[in-house]
This record gives sequence, C-alpha cells and structure tokens, in this order.
Amino acid sequence: MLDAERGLVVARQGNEVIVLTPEGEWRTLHLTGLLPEVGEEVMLPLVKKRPPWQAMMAAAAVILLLFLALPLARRAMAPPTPGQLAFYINIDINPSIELAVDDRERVLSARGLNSDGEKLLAGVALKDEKAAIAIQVLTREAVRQGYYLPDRQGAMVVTVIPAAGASQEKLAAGDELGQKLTREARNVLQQARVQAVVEAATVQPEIRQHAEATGLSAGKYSILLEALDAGLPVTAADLQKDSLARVLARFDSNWEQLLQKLQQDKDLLQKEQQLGATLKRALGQQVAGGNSYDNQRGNERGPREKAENIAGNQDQPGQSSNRNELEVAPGNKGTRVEVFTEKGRSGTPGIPGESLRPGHNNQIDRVDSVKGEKKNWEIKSSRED
Amino acid sequence: MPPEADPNQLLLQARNGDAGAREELIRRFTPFILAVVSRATGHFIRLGEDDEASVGLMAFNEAIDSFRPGGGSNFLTLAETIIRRRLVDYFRREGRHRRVLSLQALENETAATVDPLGGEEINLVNELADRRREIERYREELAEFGITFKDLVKASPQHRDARDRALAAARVVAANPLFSQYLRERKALPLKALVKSMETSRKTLERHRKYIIAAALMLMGDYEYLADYIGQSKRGGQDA
Repeated sequence: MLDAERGLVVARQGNEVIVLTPEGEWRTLHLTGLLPEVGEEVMLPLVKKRPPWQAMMAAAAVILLLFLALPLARRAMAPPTPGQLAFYINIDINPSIELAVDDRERVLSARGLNSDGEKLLAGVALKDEKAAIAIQVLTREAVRQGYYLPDRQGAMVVTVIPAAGASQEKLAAGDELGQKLTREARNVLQQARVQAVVEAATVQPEIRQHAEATGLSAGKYSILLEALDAGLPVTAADLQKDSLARVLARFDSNWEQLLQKLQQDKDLLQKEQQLGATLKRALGQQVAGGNSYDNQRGNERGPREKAENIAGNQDQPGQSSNRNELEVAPGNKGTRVEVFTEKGRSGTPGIPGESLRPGHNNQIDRVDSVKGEKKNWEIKSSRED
Repeated sequence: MPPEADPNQLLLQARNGDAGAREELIRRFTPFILAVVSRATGHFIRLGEDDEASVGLMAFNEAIDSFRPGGGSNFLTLAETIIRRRLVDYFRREGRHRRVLSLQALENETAATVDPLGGEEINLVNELADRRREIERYREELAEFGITFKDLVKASPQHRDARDRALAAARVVAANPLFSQYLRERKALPLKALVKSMETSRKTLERHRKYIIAAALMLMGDYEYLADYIGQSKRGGQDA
C-alpha cells in the first residue's frame, strides 16, 4: 500500500474534517461534497507527491515571499479576530437557524431557533467560518438529516437582517449577502439532486424583534406577512409546527411565487401595519373592540410589542416565583393588563392576582409562544382612565 | 490501472463500467472489508481461508453499484451497511448464525424477521454512536494533556518510517506500567527511560512528543475501536 486509502472522521469544522488513518496518520481533508459524520470512515483523496527538488523550490519561493511581504504575512498568520456584528442571517428550512456574522461575513455565533435547528447545529462547528461556507455546511447537514428528500418539495428562505439600522446601504448589502448565500445553498442542493426553492430576503431589524416575540424566525414571520397579504389563512402556529414548504403548499399551489414576492418586498414594517387585525388573529391574539390594538396604536408601530415571559410556570400560575416575569414594552399609559392562564385563573406569572403596572402597555392579548416555549398565557387588557 | 489513482476517481470509473478500476478499488479496500467483516462476526477473518471474507468482497462490489454520488451517504458507510446485511443473509442461509453472530444481532433477530434488513442497520447506527462517544472521550483526555486533533495533524510524522518509529515508542509506553504511570501523572513522556529502551535519539522523541503521547493514550485507555483502527493497516496488508 502506498498511502492511506481511508480515514476515520474524528472532528468536523466548516468544510473540513480531521481523519485518523489506519496507518496512524492524522490529516485534515477539505471536502466539497456532503460532510461525513464523526465516527464514519471516508475514502481519502490521493496526496500527490512532488519530487524533492520541486518541494525545495516551493519552500524557497515561500521564504522569499515571506520576506517581501512580511507585514502582510504576519497579518495573515494571526488568528482571526472577531469583527463587529453586522448581520443576522435566518435560515429557514424547518430547521430554523440564526447566524450572527461580522462585517467580514464571518460567523460570530449560531443558534437554533427551534428544536430541529438545534439538532442540525449539534453536529457542526461554524464559528469563524465564512457565512458562505456555513450555509454550505448547514445545507449539507439538512440533506444528510433528511430534511430535503429527492422528488419532494423543499424550500429554504435566507433572511438577512442588518444588526442595527435599516439604511438603504445596509439593506442593499444585505441583499447582496442573501444572493450570495442562496447561490451556495442552491449549488449544494443541486449536487445532492434535491429540487428546492431557495430565496433570500432582507428585512428591517424591527421585523426580527417582532418575529422573536411571536416565537418565529424572521424568515417565517416575513412569510407569514406575505401569506396574509395574499389572503392565505396561515397562522403563526402553523409555521411553528411545520416547514415553510409544507405549510404554504397546504394553502396555495403557487407558494413558490410567494417566496419570490418576499424577496421583492422592501418594507415589511409597512405591510405589518396594513395587516393590523388580520395579523393579530394569525398570531393567535384577541382582537379587542374598544381597546383594540389598531385603535390604541394607530399606525405608528408594528403590531407586536416585545413580550417576554421568562421561564414561567405554566402548571402553577398562581405561585409566585422570582424567575417569572412578564415584560411588555412601554405603550399606552394608564392601561391595565391582566394575565390569565388557559384554565381561566387570573394572575401574571409570578405576581398572583395582580395586573401589570400602569405605564406598561397592553398590546398583547394572547401569548402562545415566547422564546420558543409554549406558555399559553392569555392576556386580557382593559383601560384604566 | 495506475497504483496512484485516486480512490474517489476509481469509484466513479468503476460505476461507469470500468472493470479494471473496480478490481483495483476492491483490492485497495480489502483491509477495510476484512475489518468490517471481523467486527460484524466477532472473530478475525482471513482472506482465502474464511467464506465470510468472500461475502464481504461481493457485498463491497454490490455497494459500488448501489452508491449514488451526492445522494447524502458516504460510500464507506454504505459499503459497511451492505456488507453487514449480506453477512446476515449468509449466516441465515448457512444456519449457523447463532454461533457466530454477536449477542446484539441475536437480540435484534425478532425485528430483523419482520424487516430482514433492519437489525444490522440498527447495529451499525448503535456502533456509530459508540464510536462517536469513544472519539469524544479521547478528545477530552487529549485536552487534559493540552493536545487537540488539530495539533496532531501538525505533529503527525509525514514519512511512514518516522510514523512507525513514533507508534513503536507509543506502544512501549503503553506496554510498560511504569512508563504509563509516569505519563498519566506527569503528563509528559519518560524521555530518558524511553531513549534507553528504544535506542532512539531524544531529539526524535521530542519532535514527535505530542503524536507519541496521543498514540500511547489511545493504546493505554479504554479506546477499543480507535486502538484497533490503527492496527488495521498492518493486519490488512498481511491478509491482502
């Protein structure tokens, strides 16, 4: 045997795997196809051996270059320093995943936005990888884990959100990044012979905040807005449970066009305002009469204020706990908010029988999911003039 | 077929009907086939002596045709699955599977009766999970010595002879209780003693220090799969 023919995968990072060969050699492999899992054996590409004089020439050339470009070389050899957070990227397949990337498009962090997303991330290391590599890895992993199947409808929405501000410049940069990422994902899916609609959209930072409050990713929330605008009776609960492709296909045979429309829509905040009560119903909120959201708020803000119910105890709502709190963003002064559980017992989580303090707003009638956990707190609002 | 042909290329050629490429691929991966068959049957298999080896070779040949590039599976994992399936078929035919199949395979027999391919696939999935756990434990133990897998890629001796010498040093450390204890307690190689017993220069040992420590830990610890894996090359070479 000349060289190792196979290796056992012991680690994965981005598009690379580290293998141990039966000959006891440790090697790094750069792979373009589907990444094998740790514990699997892979066939090793041939290592081309160069004649010794060629190796010496190469070494001499490298030394010369290093001398000529010493400052540059130093910079290149230094470990990458994390840059400033520039974009959030939501990738929705179902799994839903969020990447935070810096201004050089390097991944600062990755998190699963649902349990499938966490499962997908469990086997991959993306930190410090370029976003383009990260999406390749995630797409391959999604194929591997069976989220895309040959001859089945599939979809992926890549939603880019500027981390702060929504100037034209930032949105345009987001569009460019989104297009780049969809190209990478399409290539991987094509190699895997999977037919899937892959679209990108850039949305304002507020949309991400509103989406987070509903327990949806920014991508799914944006699709919800487009679907409602198109007259489809889709709800947030549908999108929480199932993949985009499956939910949309249930309601509309031309759902692919909806994804394309999302890409062209540049102001989802305006759409959010226009949808008003329809959106509230889709989010599972009560549309109150005299104290309705639309009447109270006018068209100044989006339909959702941030609501966070941190670690509430659903089964024992009357019990006080310091961990339980309901945070509602400032809104109409003098408004009381009462919180009811599904069983009809009143009380805010952690504050039995009490309403929230005046000065906090009451824009939420019902919270079905907060931070991805089902809480089922019903919030009833009333005026305190 | 040139001996230096890339195995991935050979696989594609074999799938496209090149008989020479197919033969070469099977020849090169005979150690892999024997290792899989040995693991599945629980005993050491020799080419030309055991029928199971031929079953493995034919199953590997079948895997070449069944493999779909870009289809989401890795060729060697697919080959391992098919080899295990064909061994189960073979043992059933021969009516002597109770004697040679692993206990786990017997436990899965009921399920396999319903789905004849299910049992061995479950075994493989379990085995892959065991391997992952073993690799994770190994990674953690290396970390206690300040060694990462990346370090080992850099520290891995390039030449076969140098690697064999480093592995031999690791085997000496693992086999000698005093040396092993020294390594575990001081997190360092007993260089002086090792130089004497190996008749190797201290400089050589120092150069491959991380590699030798990692290999010694693998051989000393409870890393059945990994320790067996780095021994397969020699065994396969003799058999093939």
